[in-house]
Amino acid sequence: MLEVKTHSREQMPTATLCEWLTATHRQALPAPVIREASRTMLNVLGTAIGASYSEGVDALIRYSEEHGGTGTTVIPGREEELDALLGATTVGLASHYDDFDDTHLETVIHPGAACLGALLAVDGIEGVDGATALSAFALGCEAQLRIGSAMSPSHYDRGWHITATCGVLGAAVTAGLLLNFDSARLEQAIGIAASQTLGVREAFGTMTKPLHPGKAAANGIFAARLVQSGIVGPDAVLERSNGYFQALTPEVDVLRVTSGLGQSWELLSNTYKPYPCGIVIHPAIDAAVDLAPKIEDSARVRGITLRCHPLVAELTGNPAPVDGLQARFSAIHGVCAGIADGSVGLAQYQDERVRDEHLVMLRSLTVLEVDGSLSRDAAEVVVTLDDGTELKSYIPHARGSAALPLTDEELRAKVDALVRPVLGDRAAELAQAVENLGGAPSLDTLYTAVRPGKGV
Amino acid sequence: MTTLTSNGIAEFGLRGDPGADVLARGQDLVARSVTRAISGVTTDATRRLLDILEVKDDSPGAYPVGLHEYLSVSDAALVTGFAADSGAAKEPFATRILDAVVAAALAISQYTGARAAEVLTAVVVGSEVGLRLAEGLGAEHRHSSGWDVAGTVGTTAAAVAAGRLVLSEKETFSQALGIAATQGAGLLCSLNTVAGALHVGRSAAIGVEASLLASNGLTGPTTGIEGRRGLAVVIAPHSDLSRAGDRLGGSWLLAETKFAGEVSGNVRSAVTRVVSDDGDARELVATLNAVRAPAHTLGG
Repeated sequence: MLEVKTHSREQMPTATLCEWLTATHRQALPAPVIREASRTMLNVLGTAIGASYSEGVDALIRYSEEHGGTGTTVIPGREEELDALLGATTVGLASHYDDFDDTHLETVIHPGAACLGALLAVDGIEGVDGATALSAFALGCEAQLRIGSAMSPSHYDRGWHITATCGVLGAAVTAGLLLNFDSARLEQAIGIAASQTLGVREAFGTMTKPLHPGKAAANGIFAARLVQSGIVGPDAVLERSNGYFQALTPEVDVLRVTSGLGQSWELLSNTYKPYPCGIVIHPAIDAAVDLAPKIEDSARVRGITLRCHPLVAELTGNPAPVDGLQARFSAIHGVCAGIADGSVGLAQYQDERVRDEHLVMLRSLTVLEVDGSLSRDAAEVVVTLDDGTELKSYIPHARGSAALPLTDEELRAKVDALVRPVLGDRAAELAQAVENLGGAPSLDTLYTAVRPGKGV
Repeated sequence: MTTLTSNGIAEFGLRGDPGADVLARGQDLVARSVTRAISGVTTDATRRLLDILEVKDDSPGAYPVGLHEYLSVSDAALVTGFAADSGAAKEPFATRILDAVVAAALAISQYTGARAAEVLTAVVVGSEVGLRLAEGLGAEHRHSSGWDVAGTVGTTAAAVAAGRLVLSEKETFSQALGIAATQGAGLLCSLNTVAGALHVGRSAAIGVEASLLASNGLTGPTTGIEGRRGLAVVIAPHSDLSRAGDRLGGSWLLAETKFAGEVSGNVRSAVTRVVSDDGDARELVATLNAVRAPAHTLGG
C-alpha cells in the first residue's frame, strides 16, 4: 500500500493548494498565464464545436431530452440547452470527442475539457465577469495538472485515464472559484469530487473515453453544489490515509502539487494538437505528411516502416482499426492516411475513410518498430516503393510539441477548420470573444459566439 | 474455472433465471434495503441532497423510496441509495452493494413499468454479480486499498440490475457494463463523512444512467471489467477474476451471504402484497411510500 508521508506545511498539499488557488483568484493572473489560458479555451471551444453533431453528442442530447435534462447550459455549436450536470457532461464529451483537444505532454492530461464543462454549466454565476471566468478556468487547469504531475507517470501507466481522474478535481476548482468559495470550502469541494473520480483506459476507442472528461466536469460541479448545500466531505483528501493518492497511484511526489506555486505554471506547458488523434502518433504523421508529396501514387507503396518510441505501440498499437474512434489510437492508420492523403484532419478519421480498401491495404503493409532511444515526440517513417526506392523522413520534434508549439495563427486556422462546418464563417468572432474575455463584463458575448445563429 | 467477464455477466444479466428460493431471498433483501432507505430519507443529509436536485414534473422519471419528489430516473436512484446508506454506522460492503442495486432497480423499473417479480429478479442478478466481483477483486482491495467497494463494484452491480430491466441485446449490455465499470470509485476516507453515503447513491445512479446511455447509442468497452486496462486490473492490481464466474447462474453467492440490518414489518408486508398481486414497480414504490407517509398521494 502506498504511504503518503507529510512532514511539513509544504507537504499538506490539499490545504496549501486551495489557499493558493483562492488567493490567486482574487488577483490578476500573470499575462503569459492569461495568454495560455485563452489559447487553451479557444482550442477546446473549437474542438467542442467541431464535435457538436457527433454521434456521441447526439446520444447524450437524446438521453437528456428523454429524461428531463433540458435546461439553460449552452452547448457550443448546438441549439439545445441542457441542465447543468448533463450540460457539463455534454460539453466535456464534445471537447474531447475527436481527441483534438489540448494536451499537457508530461502528464498527457487534456485539462481544458473538464474545466470548460464546469465553466459553461455551473449555475448561479450570472454576475460573473470574463476575467473571473478566465481565472477560474486557468486555475482549474493548473490544479489538475499539478496533481497529475505528482502522480506521473505511474498513475497513467497503471491504466487510469488521467484526463478524468484529475479533471474532476480541476472541474471542482473551476466551479468552486466561480461560486466564490473560500479556501476551506474549496478543499471540501475537492474532497467530495475526489471520491467521484473515474476513468480506466479500457474505454479508449469508444465514446466512453470522451465521456470521462464530461462526467468529470459534471462531478466537479456536483461536488461544489453539495458543498453549497452543507454536505461535508473529507479534508486533506489528496494526502490523507485512505485518500486520493493512496488509492489512485503506486508512486507519488507530493511536493509537485505545491512546489513553485505562483512562480512556475504547468498551464504554460499546455500544447495544442495539429491532428485529431492520440498525441504520441503526431511525429509519425508529420513524417508521413512530409513524404506524401514525394509519392505520386500511393498504390505503388510496397512497405512502410514506422520507427517510434515504445509508448506509441503501447497506446496506439492497433494495426487494423474498424472505425474512426479506433483509428484515433492507431499509429499505423495515421501514417497511412498521411501518405495517401497528404494531410490528416477530421476527414481522415471518418468511419468510411478508415474502412477504405486502399487504406486497409496500406495498413496491412505497415510495420511498427519500437525504439527506446527515440524521444516521445520523435519518429521516423520509411516507405518502400514497387521499384525498390526507399523514402525516409525523420522528425525530431512533432509539430504542436513543446519544442515546436502551434503559433497563434496555426491555432486560429485549426479552430476555423473545426468551426466552419458547424457555424460557418464565425471562427474569427469566436477568437475575438475569447481574446476579449478578460475585459468582458459578462459571459454573454462568449455564449453568443458559440451558439448557432448570426452572431454579432 | 470460469473467468468473470463482461460478456458472461451480460448473458447472465439478460437471461439469468433464479429459482423460487433465490427470489424469496431477494424479496427479503429488498424489504431490508427499503427499510434502510425509508429510515434515511428523513435525515438532514438526504434533505440537503434533495435541495440541489431538480424536480422533473414534465418528463419520465421516478420517485425515490419514501419521498414524493418526482425526479429523473437516475436522481431517484441516487437519493434512494444515498438514503439507505446515510445512517451513522456503515453496514458491511455486501449490504451496501445490495442497497445500490435495489435503488437502481426500483428507480428504473418505475420508468419501464416492470412487474414487481421482474424487479426482484433484477435485484438478485445484480447483487450476485456485485458479490462475485467484490470477491474477485480480492481481500486487499476490499480491506486495505483505500477504496470503498460499494463504490468500486456498486456501479457495475447496479448496471446489471438496470440492464436487466431496460436492455435486450448482449452487446449493448456489455457496453453498459463498460460505461458503469469505468466510473467505479469512492474513497474510503469519505466514509467518515456525510459524503460517504454518496458512494452507494452514485453507484445506483451510474448503473441506471449507463444502461440508458447504452440504449441511446453511446458506446463503451465490451471488456470494461476484465480487460487489460479494465476496472479489475486498474483498481485492484492483485485481483483474480479467474474463478469469479464459476457456475454463474447455477450457484448463488447471494444465498450464502449474510446481509446486515433490520426489516420493518410494514415494509415486508407491503413488498409481499405487491409481489403476490403481480403488481408493477410503480405500485410497489407507491405502496412503500404509503408505509412511510400515508398522507401523501403518489402519482405514477
